Amino acid sequence: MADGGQHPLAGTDWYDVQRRLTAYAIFLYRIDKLMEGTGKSATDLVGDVIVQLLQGKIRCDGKRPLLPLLKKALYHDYLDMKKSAGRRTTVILETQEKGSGEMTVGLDSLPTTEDPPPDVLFRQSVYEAIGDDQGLRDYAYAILECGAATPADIASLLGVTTDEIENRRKRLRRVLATTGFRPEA
Amino acid sequence: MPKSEDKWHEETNKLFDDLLGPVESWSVAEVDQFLADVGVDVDAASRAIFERVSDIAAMYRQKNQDVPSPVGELLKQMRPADLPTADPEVAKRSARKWIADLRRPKPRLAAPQVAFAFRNRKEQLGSKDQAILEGLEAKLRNRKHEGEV
Repeated sequence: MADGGQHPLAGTDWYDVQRRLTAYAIFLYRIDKLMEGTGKSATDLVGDVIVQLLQGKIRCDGKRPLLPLLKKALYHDYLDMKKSAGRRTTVILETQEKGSGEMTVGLDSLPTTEDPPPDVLFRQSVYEAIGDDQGLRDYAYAILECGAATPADIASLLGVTTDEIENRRKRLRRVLATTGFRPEA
Repeated sequence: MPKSEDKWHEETNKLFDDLLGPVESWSVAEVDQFLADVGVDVDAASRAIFERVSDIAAMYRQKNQDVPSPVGELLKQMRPADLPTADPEVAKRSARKWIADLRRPKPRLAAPQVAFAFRNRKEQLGSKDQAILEGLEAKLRNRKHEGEV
């Protein structure tokens, strides 16, 4: 420290930072273990970001909270890595069975312009992961289709208490974590 | 990656935050539970970070420079509990961390496979020994089922 004051990172609970960043990285990976074409896991990416911070490559002035800063850095690293992974990944054309029972191979099995756009696939994957749980379906519908973002908005839309919304949010976390949710798969 | 895909990532991240809540707002127990559900080995990840940061500290020492305080602080906090130490304070801290880790949810692995020391000679066991082994196996499975192991 040039001014001899306390270091901006003094008092950081590193274990907590590591665990919360890992949870965030898992969102980015969509609960995937490894990113294709890189061999890097979510925990590797978190290690990279913490090391960059300690080496001064990520600047922390101590005026803003640390975690949002690290989440942003991790997000940009993730996108960079995904771009380079996209350049390196070999597409394997696997045989697929059509609804009619006919087998297709090669370019026919690649995504086409007729496939639903990514945001539609994302929504579909969330609903598929939720299954028949009506409470969670309503909760997801309020956010994904009606654009409600805060617990108060969602609660007023669904006519339930904010405590109930918090409970559903926690339940959804467990459902997505345990079903291996992968919107991009 | 096209620009539109960047935008799509940004939008889905926002939706994830709305659906599950930003990680900053989760309680410590919720973070632990989430990581356990996903199957992340937090101990192994912490050890990997500790080793990488130890290398950074070693580079400063090689140059005869002071190790920056955040580097030293991280090493102190994330020091694996099983590393030997002659410092009673460090040993005490490690013991406390070890006990706290015991209470933390752990990833659920595959169903337990009980391996008998007498696995290949089970037929040679007396009925009493066989009953003891079966009792222990049932007890272990119950504890696993109740999440104690």
